[in-house]
Amino acid sequence: MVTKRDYRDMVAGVLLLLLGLAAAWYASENYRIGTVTRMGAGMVPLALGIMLAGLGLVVMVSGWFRKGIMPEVRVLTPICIFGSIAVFGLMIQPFGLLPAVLASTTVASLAEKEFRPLRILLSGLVLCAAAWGIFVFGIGLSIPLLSWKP
Amino acid sequence: MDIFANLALGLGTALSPYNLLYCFLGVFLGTIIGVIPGIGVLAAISMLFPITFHLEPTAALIMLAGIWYGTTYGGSTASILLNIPGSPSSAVTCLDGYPMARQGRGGVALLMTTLASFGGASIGIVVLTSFSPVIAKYAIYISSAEYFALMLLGLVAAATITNGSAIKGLAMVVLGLLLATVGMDSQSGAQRFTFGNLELMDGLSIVALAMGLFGVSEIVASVRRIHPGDVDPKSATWAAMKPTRDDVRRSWVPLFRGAGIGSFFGAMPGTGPSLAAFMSYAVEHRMSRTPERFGKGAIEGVVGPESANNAADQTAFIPTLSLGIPGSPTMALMLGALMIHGINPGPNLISEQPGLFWGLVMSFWIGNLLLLILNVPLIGLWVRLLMVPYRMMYPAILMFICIGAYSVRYSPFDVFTVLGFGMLGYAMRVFSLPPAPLLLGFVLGPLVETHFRRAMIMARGDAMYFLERPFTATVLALTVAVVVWSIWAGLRRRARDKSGLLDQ
Repeated sequence: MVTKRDYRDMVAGVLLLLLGLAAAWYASENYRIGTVTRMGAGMVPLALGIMLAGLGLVVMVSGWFRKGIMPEVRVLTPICIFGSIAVFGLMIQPFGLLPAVLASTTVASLAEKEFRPLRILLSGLVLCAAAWGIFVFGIGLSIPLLSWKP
Repeated sequence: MDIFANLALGLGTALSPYNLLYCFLGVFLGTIIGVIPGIGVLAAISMLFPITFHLEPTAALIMLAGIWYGTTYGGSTASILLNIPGSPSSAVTCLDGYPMARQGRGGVALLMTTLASFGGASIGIVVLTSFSPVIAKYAIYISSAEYFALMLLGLVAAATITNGSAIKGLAMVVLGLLLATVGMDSQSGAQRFTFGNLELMDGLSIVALAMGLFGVSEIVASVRRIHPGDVDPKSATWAAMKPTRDDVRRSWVPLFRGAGIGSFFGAMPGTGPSLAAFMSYAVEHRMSRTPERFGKGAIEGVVGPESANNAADQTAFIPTLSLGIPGSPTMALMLGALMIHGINPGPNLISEQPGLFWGLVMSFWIGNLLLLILNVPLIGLWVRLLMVPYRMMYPAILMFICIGAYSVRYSPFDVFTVLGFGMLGYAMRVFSLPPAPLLLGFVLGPLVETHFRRAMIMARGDAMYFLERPFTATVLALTVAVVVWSIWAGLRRRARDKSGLLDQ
């Protein structure tokens, strides 16, 4: 969809501007700035924050003066993919490697938009075997395969 | 006859069974990743990055480098047979490679690209071998001000030359530098942006950053988009590969020209294999007496760019290994791998770690030979790989990323860092902000800050100090020129672009 102004760039610019200002403000509040000769820990983050804000402003303003295309934002796919990583992170220590792999691949497979339990289970089991073979047996990582510390 | 002793040392290192195994593993994985559209070389390297922690530094670098130049070989396969570039540097190969495949000459195109890749890479290695030690010898004398200027040039060039919008590229470099300040300040010991979190004290993990920005966001963008190709496995048999005498006659000059172009652009900051391949194609098109054949299956249009991108793959190591300044995000990851093993990249690398440097260089020869062997007889296997559906691949890639990130410190926190960078990466994709400059800024961040602060101490706070030193002033002037040129080029492109829709 073609829009009159490049809203994508304008939003990106605003976000960069805010991020830069936040970093600069946080650095100047919490860290010693020092002098140009003897810089404190806060000087470089402060300068970078201001630079980022400035560049964000340029991106925002230039978006105002040109036409743009609305980007396509996917909803289901990121939820499944990000969810799969989160599930892995939450399960790896309490339950061990195999349950974490099985659960995270199941969540990831949902991004396909078709639910086929048998196929998902099968590929999950294959990946469990691969995870054990490569990481535990092959490289020798000491990750427990199963554990119970909820 | 120093050079022969060094080459012998390198050959000995590279040929040790341990290093040879990882060289083979690297180029093998690289070829697979190159063939499959939907996993880029950066995603692949970051995925396999944690594995290299468990290796010796030389083997680790040999393997990562093998993945890097291996993908360039593999990338051309998908370009020729499917008209989808398996890796960005092979995009140009589609232009004439795919028409060749349509004419039933896919086998010839595959064989000639493999030979051109080998030829280009060999020339690139010769250039690398002859220039790196010389540059390093002079680089020992340069001080913090020069270093700062060189890194600035590298960052600015990488941000502005290859990407669509120069401003967005610069913004991402700054964001990368800012993210690099997270953790303990090396000079004062103060905690910055840790918000009291102990796991952030060592800073954000480069592994998590690269995996999230390149691996995870690429998966989000590719699921349900990449479909297995409709390939005729017969196009890749021995009989179909035999080039005609005319093919050979047309190919050898573009090969050398491509290698020259590639060697130059590979070593420059900000440019790299992709740009080198484009340049070589443009040059071949212009030099040809029959330019109308281009785009319809001209062998020169395949051989030149493939020779160029492989030469560039090799010469990209010149600034990385001789100065410690990476020209591209992949090279930044290589430096990251070195630093994790406690090796400081810089001009002293070659003299302090001769085994590593020469071993790596010699492993390039061996790796390219292995690739030649892997690619020609096994081409049928790679073609079948193009038919594996993506829905079977991406859960495996995700699993690799999760376990890999976790294994570095056995910390779920790192898995969530990957998640955070994955979200950032996807948001950046939506807003068309380039991730590569961010990674480069992140890796160089601590060095840039240290050298800048040190130089300012020496300068007693006077910025004129930078301009009074001829070398520094020249480099800074170049940096300004790059910025001005890229903004001017962007404005001109916009003026020419009647629809007003830039970089879509």
